[in-house]
Amino acid sequence: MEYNNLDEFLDNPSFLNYCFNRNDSDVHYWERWLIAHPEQEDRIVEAKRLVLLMGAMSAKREGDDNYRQLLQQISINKQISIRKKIVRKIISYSAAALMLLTVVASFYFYQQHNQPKGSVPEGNRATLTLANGKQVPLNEKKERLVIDAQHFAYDDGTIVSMNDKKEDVKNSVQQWNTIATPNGGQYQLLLADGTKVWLNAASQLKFPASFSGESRKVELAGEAYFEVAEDKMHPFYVITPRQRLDVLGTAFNISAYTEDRAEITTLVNGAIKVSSEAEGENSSKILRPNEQAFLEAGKLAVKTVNAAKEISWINGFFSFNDEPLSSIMQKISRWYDLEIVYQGADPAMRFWGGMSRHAEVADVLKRLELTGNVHFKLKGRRVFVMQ
Amino acid sequence: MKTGKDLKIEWDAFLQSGSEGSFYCLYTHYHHYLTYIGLKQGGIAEHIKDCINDLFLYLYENRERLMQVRNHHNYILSSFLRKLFKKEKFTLTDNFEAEPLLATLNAPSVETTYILQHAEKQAARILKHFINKLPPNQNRIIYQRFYLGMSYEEIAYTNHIAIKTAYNTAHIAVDKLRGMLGKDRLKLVSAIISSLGILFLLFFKFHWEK
Repeated sequence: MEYNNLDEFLDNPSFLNYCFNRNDSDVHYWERWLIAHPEQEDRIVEAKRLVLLMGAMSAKREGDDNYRQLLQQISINKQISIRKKIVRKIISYSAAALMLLTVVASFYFYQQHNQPKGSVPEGNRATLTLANGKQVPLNEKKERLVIDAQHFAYDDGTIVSMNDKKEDVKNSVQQWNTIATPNGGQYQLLLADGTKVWLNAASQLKFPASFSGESRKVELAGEAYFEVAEDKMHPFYVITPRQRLDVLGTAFNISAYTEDRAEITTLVNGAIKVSSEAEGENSSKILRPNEQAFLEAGKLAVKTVNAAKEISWINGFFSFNDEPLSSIMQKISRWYDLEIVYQGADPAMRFWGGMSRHAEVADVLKRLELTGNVHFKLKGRRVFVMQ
Repeated sequence: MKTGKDLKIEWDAFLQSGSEGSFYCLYTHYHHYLTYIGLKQGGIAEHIKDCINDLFLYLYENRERLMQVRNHHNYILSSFLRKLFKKEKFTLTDNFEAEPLLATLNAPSVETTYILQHAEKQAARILKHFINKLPPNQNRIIYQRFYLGMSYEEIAYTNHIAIKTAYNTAHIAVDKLRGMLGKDRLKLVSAIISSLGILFLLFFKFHWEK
């Protein structure tokens, strides 16, 4: 065979096999051919070298190119997995935060739901109505309203904000003002003469900014505990819907809710004269400490009690001492702002007991259930009282 | 020239420390080996390339888990074939006939090329430059034709081109190369290279005694 062209060698698969030593027969063939055509040796050698070189170089390039691509892919995957890790971390932290939030929120809502009252729990709430009719809600974070000739303030000294011009403030201070507590509210006052008043829920006290004149007079509807400042020159009177009290001494409690059947006056200290408005002077009674005056249907009766227990509300306690269910439920109604519906229970049933006013109404009712023959059902803002 | 099984040292080094040198060594060897097998099995060049890279990507990312592999060569080969043919299971016996052919796959190794490059710099530089300047598909054809020994029919099939195109590409490349080197230079190259022919022969001899 004649091979004049290099191409002919390159195109010959057998030759290629010889170059690369791929199989015996081709290798032997070409070795023999080389021996038979010694003048072609240069060409053979040249062709073989080309083949080998091209092969080797192209193989190296092919391998390296693909290797480079592989490294790129590895690097990309690393980036992706790092990013995935970060995302996963973010998600898991968010999930944890969300869970925490949910727990807190549901706890909060659970609390809220359990209180059948409105959005605000029982506390220091009251509204001050000035002589000019302006209403000022009092600060719930404070406990006591202090009255003096110049202004209204809280017991820590901060002035009650009214957004009035100074002149107007001065004017109203001279005249009658009313402090009113809603259901679930309570407030304390320090009157211009130094008398301390604790006002219970659903009550109103009308008082002057300063006491001028021969006597000191206030009007009460609801329940309040008074510690009257001593001033023998100026007697202190409390007017309730049905009574008039002459204060001869110091500390006493009056329960005079208009809607109640009775007005109850309890003397802790000192002496007071209680008179029925209807009956006048004839009916009046003088109370000694630990005596309680009971005005019902015009009749005034006096009995002995543990006065300290009777006024435990000012310290945040309910105290029921041989008290009828109706009266107890009335107190609960005012403090927890609930409607009472009797379904079979006897309102005259008497109870003894005590518990914190700051307890949940459900707990209070449970305690009552334990002490007597009564059963309660709490539905929203209603309490059903059953046997 | 090493066979796959001889690369156990590199395999272990790669698993232990993720050594890039060992990884490159394994890759380079198996790249040619698996490409050859894939092409002979009638695979498509692009697909074969992807399977090889996917396999080695997997090896790299899961090297910690591969300590249990007893025979890395069989593992790589069977994993590759499984990927190539998308079969669930692929035992080596399926293609055992490939073995004899594979034994003959022995082109100058990377080391030889390295030696070449350092032996006669200028010629080698020209060659390397020429090869590297080729468009990738042309280089692939050269690789398949000369290094892997594929026929033009096989090349045409695997690259989805006409036989004529494969033929022309190979020839044009050779002509260009010859032109670049120049007749004189070519002689010089040949002369220098022939002195290394002994090395070649020696390598081939050793391979033969595999």
